[in-house]
Amino acid sequence: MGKTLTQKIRQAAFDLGDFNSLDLAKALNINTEKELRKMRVAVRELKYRKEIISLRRGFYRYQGKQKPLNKTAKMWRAIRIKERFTRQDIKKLSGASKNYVVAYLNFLVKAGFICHISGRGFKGKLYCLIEPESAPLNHPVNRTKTKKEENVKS
Amino acid sequence: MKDETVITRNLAQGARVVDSLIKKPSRLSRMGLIYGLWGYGKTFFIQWIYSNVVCFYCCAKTVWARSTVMMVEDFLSAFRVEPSGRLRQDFRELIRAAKKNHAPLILDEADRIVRKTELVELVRDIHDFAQIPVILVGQENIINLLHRRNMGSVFSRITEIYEFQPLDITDVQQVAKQLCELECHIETASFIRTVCLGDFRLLNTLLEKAENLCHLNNKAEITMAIAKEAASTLPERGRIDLTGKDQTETSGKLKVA
Repeated sequence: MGKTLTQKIRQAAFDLGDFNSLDLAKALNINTEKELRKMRVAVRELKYRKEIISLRRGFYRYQGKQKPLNKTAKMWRAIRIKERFTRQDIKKLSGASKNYVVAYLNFLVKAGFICHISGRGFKGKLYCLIEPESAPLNHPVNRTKTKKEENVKS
Repeated sequence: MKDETVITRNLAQGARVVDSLIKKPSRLSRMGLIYGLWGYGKTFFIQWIYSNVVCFYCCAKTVWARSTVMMVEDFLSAFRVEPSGRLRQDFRELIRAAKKNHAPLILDEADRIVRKTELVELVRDIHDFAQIPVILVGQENIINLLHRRNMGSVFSRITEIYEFQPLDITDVQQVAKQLCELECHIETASFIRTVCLGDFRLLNTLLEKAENLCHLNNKAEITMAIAKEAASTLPERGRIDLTGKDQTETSGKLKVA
């Protein structure tokens, strides 16, 4: 599948760093006025999304596509890097609320990704990632919860 | 104590290094170096960055000095790619995976790889061919090792450097306020900082004790008396500074005073 113009602009802008329209047009091999107009529209769109910032008139800098991680992804990443952890560790690293962390950890225990390793009477539950080497990069999603949420919304 | 992350000076500066490396154009060198003594919060910083920023993490192992194949395999497993066991093919796969994800690679305990030229050159190759930011994190002597003449090509690629500093008075006050909701006067904060030797782990232990004492005495501020009482429970710990001088005696004298 070919790249869209915006994707091409992103790549070229990333390579150039600081650039003006002429540099960008050169990098994209743009020859016609029509293509140049399209490019300008795409640059304006990227400026609106704050991927490109204007340094001064006609000069730009590529800031990068900033897609922030959601809380679940942050929790999963914290689990992956800690491997052995308590609820407090995950709360501290991800910034998620206590209830959210507990719910997600319970889901992960049920799904078989993590398990308890602390014995009886231990105050702070100690968890452990079952297979750290093969744990997926993307966070496991609690499907039942999303279905419930969808039902509530509908 | 609350389960929160306090954005101290070290954490903020470290995050700035990572952020500026990500935002730099790929035609520039994008290698970073973060170093400092133990207990200054490097490991926590890595965990915090990994949790909040899209990046890959790999911890250097001593065995890597014996096998380059193992190093490449470990990098591949960080990118969740199955290694084939052949160095050439694995390296190609590694570059492909790094290029595809386009996220920075954080290399912890980097002083282990810096001792062997072959390993550092491999990291440099990853940086050059995949055009991803590579952040080396290590102990204090890593900077001296990188200053060696044969490391010139690697050191010149390092465009962002930050040394983790011991906690300062503002940090102590900020941590006490944010985690324990306790005020701390400058003099008391200075005493705590000296007793803890700028070590975050020791500060946590001390603050936990101080919080209990404040709670028992119904006080909203850590007084000097409370700080001294909490400090008396700290384990004796000697830290050898750069000149090789042991500072245990100094901390001992302070406690008596």
